[in-house]
Amino acid sequence: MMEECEKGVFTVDFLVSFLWLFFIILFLASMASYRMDYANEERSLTGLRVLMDELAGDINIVLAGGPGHEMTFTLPSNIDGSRYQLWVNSSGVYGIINGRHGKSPIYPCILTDSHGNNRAITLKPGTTYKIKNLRENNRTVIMIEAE
Amino acid sequence: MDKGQITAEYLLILGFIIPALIIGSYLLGDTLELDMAIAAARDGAIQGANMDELAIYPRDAYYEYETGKNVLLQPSSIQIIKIEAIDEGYNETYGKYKIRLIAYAHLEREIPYDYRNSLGDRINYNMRKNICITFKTENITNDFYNPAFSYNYMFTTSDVKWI
Repeated sequence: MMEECEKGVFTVDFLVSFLWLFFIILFLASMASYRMDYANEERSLTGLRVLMDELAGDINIVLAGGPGHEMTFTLPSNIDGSRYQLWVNSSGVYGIINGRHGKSPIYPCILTDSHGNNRAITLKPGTTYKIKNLRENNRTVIMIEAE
Repeated sequence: MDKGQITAEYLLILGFIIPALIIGSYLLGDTLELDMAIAAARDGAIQGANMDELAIYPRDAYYEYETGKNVLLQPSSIQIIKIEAIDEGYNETYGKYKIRLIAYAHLEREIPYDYRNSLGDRINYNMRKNICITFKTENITNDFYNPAFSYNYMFTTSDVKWI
């Protein structure tokens, strides 16, 4: 009879302490979750800013490099798990992530897609693009085409 | 008899800690609340400054800046220096003590006054928002969290002072 009682016994001290600890952890977790959400959001915004600035920097380098200069740029498929949109026109690189918009300016230039159309070019996440400096009709053209 | 026992020492310790916590929290409550609110405001100010630094804005703000304040679409390096809290006494309308918060910040580049105001508004908005989130009072204020409420205080913000 005594042996049966000793099996799998929890002391009340342990149970009360565990309950206290559980509530404290729950309270701390609820406080921390807001901070974590904020940190995650800021990380994705920073990711987009870095990506836009890198692409704008590469376009400027190709433009400054003169005809024949070429660079490749690979876009990540997502930024810290968040979907994003990116497009380029003759004045800058534009991006949207989590409903927030941003822009990185570039030196004004003639920008064309792979068909030679001068228009805003939407870039697909997860794709590698070639940025080329071409000379067409005595003017410098920056062409962005998917590899 | 051996089952479900609790030691007298444990009971004594709990019996001491719990009343001590209750008395302590009662005595420190007001100061703690104001300190928490100011800490939340400081936190919010840093969040606002970070948003200004990244220059990635919600749609409406973005299009407003794109048409008139293009400079703000480029990152601005902002440092929050301090948050000052000015006690403006008891407010009969709201039945709370009114505190006016002033953020002091430093901006690395020279930009026109109204552009700075736009950056400052974002800092102030996030200060008030963070206070409301901390005290879960979002439902008793307006969309701009102005004024922001804690349990016994209400908070307004003045223009950010750029130093």
